[in-house]
Amino acid sequence: LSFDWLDKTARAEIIGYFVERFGMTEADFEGLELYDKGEFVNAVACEVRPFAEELGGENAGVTLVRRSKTGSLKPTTRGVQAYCKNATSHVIDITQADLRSLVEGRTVEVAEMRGFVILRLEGEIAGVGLAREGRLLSQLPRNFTQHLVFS
Amino acid sequence: LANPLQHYERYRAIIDDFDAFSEAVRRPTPQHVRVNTLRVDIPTVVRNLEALGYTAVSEPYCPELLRVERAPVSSVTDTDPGPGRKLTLMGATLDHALGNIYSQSASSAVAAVALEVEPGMEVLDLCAAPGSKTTFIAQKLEGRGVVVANEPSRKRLTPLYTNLRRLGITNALVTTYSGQNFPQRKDFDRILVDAPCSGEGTWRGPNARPNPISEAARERLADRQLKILERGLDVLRPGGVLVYSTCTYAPEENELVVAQAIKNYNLTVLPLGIDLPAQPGLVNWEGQELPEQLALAARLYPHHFDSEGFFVVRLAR
Repeated sequence: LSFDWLDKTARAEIIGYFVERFGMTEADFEGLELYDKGEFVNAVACEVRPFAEELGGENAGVTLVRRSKTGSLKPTTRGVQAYCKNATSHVIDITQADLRSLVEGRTVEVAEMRGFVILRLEGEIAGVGLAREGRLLSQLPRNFTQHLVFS
Repeated sequence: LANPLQHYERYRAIIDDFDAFSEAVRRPTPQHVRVNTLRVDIPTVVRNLEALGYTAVSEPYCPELLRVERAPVSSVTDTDPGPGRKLTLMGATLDHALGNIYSQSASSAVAAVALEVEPGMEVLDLCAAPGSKTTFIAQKLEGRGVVVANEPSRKRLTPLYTNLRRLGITNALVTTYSGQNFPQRKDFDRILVDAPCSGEGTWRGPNARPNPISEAARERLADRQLKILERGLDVLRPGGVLVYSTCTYAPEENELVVAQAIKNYNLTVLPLGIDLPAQPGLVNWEGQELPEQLALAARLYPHHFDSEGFFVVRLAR
């Protein structure tokens, strides 16, 4: 299968989202190629592209965002873990107790903020949450939460 | 076949101290976890595991690989697995969810270590799922270079994707060719052929589920293994290194396959370069003389190297 690489305009839209929402810079995405994969946009190291073009392939790199039908973007947990270490805005520091609440389906109180946020646990990017009306909801994927046991 | 030892009888002549081997096979394989150094440093994981009641120490031949020497009694398993014995709880830790660790047998890690991957290299893993070795190779690349993870089995792609994403591997390309038909449009510095095999080396402990194959099936498997190995050699760059490995004791799937490739491709067998209690590869089997250089291959037996049974050899064209 061939890869549907993003052109300059589409790439700028995706990167612009991370710059605007999470305070990242365009430099944070240098060295990455973006491509469409169904409703998702994946990011992969530039060095992979010549191999993908010669060999084709099923997948490369890590899913960065999902596009909704209305065109809005939702960041993915694995994407922000891999690519968003330098995020400075809409980043919420959580404790292990907060994470446990989120994983167990409860909400956590959060300062007034709306929309998708990056969850940071003890300095490490843990994943994506959704802030709404002073509450934080988990957006962590099932493969993150399903086996997790808190001591 | 309930008892793998019945099957292993055919190897009595080539496995030294067969009684000790038999005893080791009855014990479960000790648990190892690999630290994903792309994400976190080794001491941090050791501390996190200690907080959960584990004691884990680095293996001398592979510091990223931690041997679990003590595990907590688990409410999940309801049994104390004893020193160094396997406990499934590791997959339920936060470090696992965050992609900081990967449960991997020591033997499996050896195959990746034997490749001697350096940052910037272009590496092909021809039989990649579920990604244990691919993700280790990516770690060795330190984010520079490329690893192509080839896996023809559709049903094995999901765990491969899951692991690549969980560990945050940003420079991997997943392809789905049958190994023997992998295209010859690119060549590589390092190639791993961890060939599909009869899996005899994994039959350890009380939960072992031996599934021996027939002689005819073994012949077909060996034919396929040779074809995959030879395609790997076709796309190996001059000066490159190919590692061939299996998790079986069967010489038909190991030395005999490699001996044929040596003959067809005029290969050189390289020393493994890892200090392990390995037994040398066979240079004869059932009256058939094999190339002397196959003694440089490594046979890993659980009574010497407490992990799954394994065969590994480094080859250069």
